[in-house]
Amino acid sequence: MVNIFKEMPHMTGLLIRQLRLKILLWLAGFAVIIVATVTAYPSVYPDEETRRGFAITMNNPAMEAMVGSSYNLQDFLSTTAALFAQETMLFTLVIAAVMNIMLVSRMTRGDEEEGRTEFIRSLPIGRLSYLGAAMLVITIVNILLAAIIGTGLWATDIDGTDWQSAYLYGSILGGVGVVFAAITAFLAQLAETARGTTILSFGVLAVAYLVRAFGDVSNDTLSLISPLGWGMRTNVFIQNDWWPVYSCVIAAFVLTAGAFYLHLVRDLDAGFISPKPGNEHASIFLKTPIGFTAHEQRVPIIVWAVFIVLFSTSFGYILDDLESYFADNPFLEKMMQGESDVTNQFVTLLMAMMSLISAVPAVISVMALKKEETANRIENFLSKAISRTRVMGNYLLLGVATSILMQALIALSLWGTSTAVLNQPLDAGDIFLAAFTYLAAIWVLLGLSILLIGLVPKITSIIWLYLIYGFIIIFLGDVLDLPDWFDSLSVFEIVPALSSEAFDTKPVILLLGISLVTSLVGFISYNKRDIQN
Amino acid sequence: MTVLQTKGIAKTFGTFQALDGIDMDVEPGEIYGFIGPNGAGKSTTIRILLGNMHGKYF
Repeated sequence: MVNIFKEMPHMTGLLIRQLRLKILLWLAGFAVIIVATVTAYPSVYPDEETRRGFAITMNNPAMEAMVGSSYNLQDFLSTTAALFAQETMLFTLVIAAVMNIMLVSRMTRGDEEEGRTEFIRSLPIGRLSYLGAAMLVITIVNILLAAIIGTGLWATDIDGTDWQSAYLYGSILGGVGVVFAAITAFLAQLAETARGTTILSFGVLAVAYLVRAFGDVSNDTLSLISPLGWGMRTNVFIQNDWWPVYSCVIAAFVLTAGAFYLHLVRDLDAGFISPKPGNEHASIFLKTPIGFTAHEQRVPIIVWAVFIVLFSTSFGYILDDLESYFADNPFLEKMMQGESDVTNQFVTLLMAMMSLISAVPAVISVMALKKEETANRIENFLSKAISRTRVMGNYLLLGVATSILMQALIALSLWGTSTAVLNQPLDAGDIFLAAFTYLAAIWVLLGLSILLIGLVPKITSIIWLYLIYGFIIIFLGDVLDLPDWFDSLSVFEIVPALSSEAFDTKPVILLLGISLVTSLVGFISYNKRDIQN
Repeated sequence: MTVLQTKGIAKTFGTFQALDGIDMDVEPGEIYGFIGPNGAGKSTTIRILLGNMHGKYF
């Protein structure tokens, strides 16, 4: 009898050793953010009045679509913990999913693509040992996550928490986590590259989010297709339903079994979705340096463009529900000073959020320069008659073009959908101006990326930490009650938030100045430093 | 005693026939030379022997 899991404990140790720093950082980051947030809640919502206000801002279709829904007014009035869960649950579930996708994709296709798996598999070990070990490691990570978050919440002990609900909150994070771990492991068998695996998995996450958004607004059963929909249905801190956790575990088991089966029947390095062969000859465009750079990045740019159109259109579609919701409720309408104002506020918030998201593909485009250097490909490029300024300039130009494209897509999708669903559609000029104003912030990120690549290429990835910081400020900034300068550290908070705020040229010029100076320093130092190999 | 024995291993990648009927026997202590031009299927054979790829057996 052949043991297909032979030496799995050794493989598990090997993987943990490789990834211990990443795992530690993820778990520590999670713990710090959750505990810091939950600690702030009692002081932000001290009395019934503030909680009632919270319930009103939460209890409308737009917010249901964005952050999900599971409670009613009474729940918010009775416990502070329910407020915390309502506002943070979906956000943390998505981050848990992202953590699982990144780690599993690295342990499965990532290692296979780098050739590590082939070395390991040449030794007398079972065929499923490596994949089995990866699943074991990610399960341990999710159990740790559940335990750490649960203990943290229990120890913080805000109004409405007991040990069962605290650990349920932790467990559902871990539960949805293992589902996405299993989805990624499954997709890793289908795709042939680590990048393909990540793109497919994030695609599933985005669809899960949107399906839940539509389900929560219109049809509850629809939400139950999405793992994120399950995650939102624990009623944690009120009824404490455990069935979503069990469903997650069962789904993860089934998907993992599927991944194991596909892994057994396929060849190493092969996938079930094979990439199509390229053209035999390069086009004229591809032979130019900028064309080559653009060609290299086309897949991520297209994927992100589709993603952004999908999101903006969905939220634009919800504007209709928002309008009728407030029209039906004269009391609320009075309270929020007219429906158009609510639509306006929602669009402003949406624009800030979408701009942060569209900064990702723009930064990816510029960061590709660093990736090419790490992969030792950039030296082939630089050995030709082309200056470093030009090579770097091409990547920056591509990043700038990407950001303009993405912002235009956001504005176009939102505006286009609003003309279809609203009686009084959004003003095209306003919405495009709002979207393009955020370019100033995105370009600072591009400038910083250039600066990092030129000056300190070893730590370029901190640009992602900065972007994550921007997300934290936009989602949790008000709740965490940080000093103002914490907010202004994120460039996205400096941009005038149209159309709730008036347009102001000063911050925009400041941001453009920063992006110009950082890029300039980046270009100069990139020309001076050694290319790493 | 034979430590390794194969009979008629075949392998195709799509329509491309990479291996067709590989027979080999390796005895204990024997040094087995494995030579051939590029694309002859040396690595493919080894990958199948290691179980990293699935061949066809007759």
